[in-house]
Amino acid sequence: MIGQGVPVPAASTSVAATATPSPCRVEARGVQVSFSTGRRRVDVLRGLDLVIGPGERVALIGPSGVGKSTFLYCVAGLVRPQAGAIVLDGVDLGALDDATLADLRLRRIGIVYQAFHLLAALSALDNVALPLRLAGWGRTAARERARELLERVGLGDRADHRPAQLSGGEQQRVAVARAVANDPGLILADEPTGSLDPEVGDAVLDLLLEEARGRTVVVVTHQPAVAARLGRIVGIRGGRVVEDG
Amino acid sequence: MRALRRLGLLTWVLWRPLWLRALFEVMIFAAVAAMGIFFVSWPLKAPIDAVVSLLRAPFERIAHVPPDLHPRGALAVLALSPVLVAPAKEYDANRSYIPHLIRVELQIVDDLAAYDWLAAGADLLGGARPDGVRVDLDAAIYMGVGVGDEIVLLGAPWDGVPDVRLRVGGLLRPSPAQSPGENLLVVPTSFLPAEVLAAARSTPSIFTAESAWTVVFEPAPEEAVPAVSRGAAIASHLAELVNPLRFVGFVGIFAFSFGLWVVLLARSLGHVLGSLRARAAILAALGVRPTTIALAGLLPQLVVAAAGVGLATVAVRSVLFEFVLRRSLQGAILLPSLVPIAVILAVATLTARRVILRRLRGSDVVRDLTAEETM
Repeated sequence: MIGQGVPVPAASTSVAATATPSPCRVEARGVQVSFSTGRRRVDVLRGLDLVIGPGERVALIGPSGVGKSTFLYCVAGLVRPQAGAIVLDGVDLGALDDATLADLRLRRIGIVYQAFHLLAALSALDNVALPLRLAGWGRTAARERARELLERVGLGDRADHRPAQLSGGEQQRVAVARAVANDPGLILADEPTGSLDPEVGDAVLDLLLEEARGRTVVVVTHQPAVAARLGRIVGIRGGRVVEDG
Repeated sequence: MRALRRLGLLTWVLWRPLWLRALFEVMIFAAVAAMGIFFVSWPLKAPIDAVVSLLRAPFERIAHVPPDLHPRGALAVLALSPVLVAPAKEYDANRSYIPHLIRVELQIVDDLAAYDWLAAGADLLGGARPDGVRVDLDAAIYMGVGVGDEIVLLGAPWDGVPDVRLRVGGLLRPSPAQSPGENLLVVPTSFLPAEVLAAARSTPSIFTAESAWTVVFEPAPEEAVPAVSRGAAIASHLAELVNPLRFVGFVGIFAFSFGLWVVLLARSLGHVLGSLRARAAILAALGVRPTTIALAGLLPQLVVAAAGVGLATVAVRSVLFEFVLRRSLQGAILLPSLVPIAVILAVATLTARRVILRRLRGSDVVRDLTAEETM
């Protein structure tokens, strides 16, 4: 259920005690988003309708500028549509205030970016532990779970390294670990392999899909090979869904 | 508590890349403000002296009590020092004084120095005339204490109450109205010549029955202090404020603290909207509430602002206390003068918060998140 989030363990709680994620259902109803650039108004999404069932893995494809990422950030609650609604597990995100939306994002949604967006001043361990700390975990328990997650993504020995000391692929693996730290029911990925060479990108995608097991996954990509790895491909053009299969 | 911990964590995460710069700025602010306050607000000299005295006291056999030291401070100095020297304060005929009584028992580890001071005191008292139980002391009163002696400290003006005449350890302090000279007396009984003590003890009006060295103070007759309305008192004291030098100092303190605070606010805001903006966007995307991010972004500046307002308050209090108002009237002026500052600070902070919140909503965050550089 939205807003309930994952249980917050006490500092001494074992990392093995985290809850099994419940996958989210996402529904977009006539979503319209437009941006103003100076005097010019750009309609990015023009009544986009889409339903993503719990546990589905969906690739959003299409050329640049058709609104794929904008839709993703609408689902994340970072962009509020001017019209239409994003409904997550039966709750209209437009009806939530900023604070509730932030809490929802913290506990139910994990995001992976093309540019990784790790905090440069923090170690890999602290980057992964941060969402846990924000969700109320004690420092020790958060770091313990973060270490376990880093080991799962193959970076147990790099936990104390800063992002600048890691390769692009390693940084994205840390970002994946951070995205799943709070056991979210929905993973959103915006071109997760876009900054990586194909080989590393494949490995990161493998990892992402493995870690996203049991969760709903939405991946924005313009790479057909990446889209093919997901169960469902949704094509977007002109701010609408033009292909779904 | 959890919310505070979270706020602390976020402030640390947000400011970590700039903590050195932030610390440097805060130190610069503190140093400049301290210098400004020190030079502009010389009324603060007394509290500074008090602190210095306290710091020196444990290391000195003879403690120096600044004339303006509050009795509580004097007590602390006494507690830390084996021997006390309390110089007299220049009497200001325009002010009224009420004695503040502190009884302190001192144990002298080595009475050698005390003996010296006793001798010095005896020299000073050479001109004392036991007849009439009145001794005119010079500009300073010295004391000497022996092992286990009890002393009595008098001083500290308490404005707003009737003036008094003091009778201390057999010495009748001249009434301020009669012969201004000193107002701070520290007199151990061992200091007094035997004949003075004997004469004093034979005079019930001077000594209490219990103890020869108990201070007796008597309120002056009511008519000694004419009743003045609060309004008239404020008006007359405000005239003192108009003194150009003091006025410049008074305004300078505010301008200094407030100006620096505004600069720091602008810099904090600049950081949050500039170099820290992408970091704030990441935190927003992670699920941190925008209001919390705004608060974390402004927290260092708010702390500095609180310190600045605190310094300004101390300065204002000193100015008012020293030059302008009787203590009982300070509240009438101090509070209203701080209210506009508090309002301006609150409005400026809320405005900065609103600016940050606006940037943490909508397309700006997404634009930062779709930027390609690592934060």
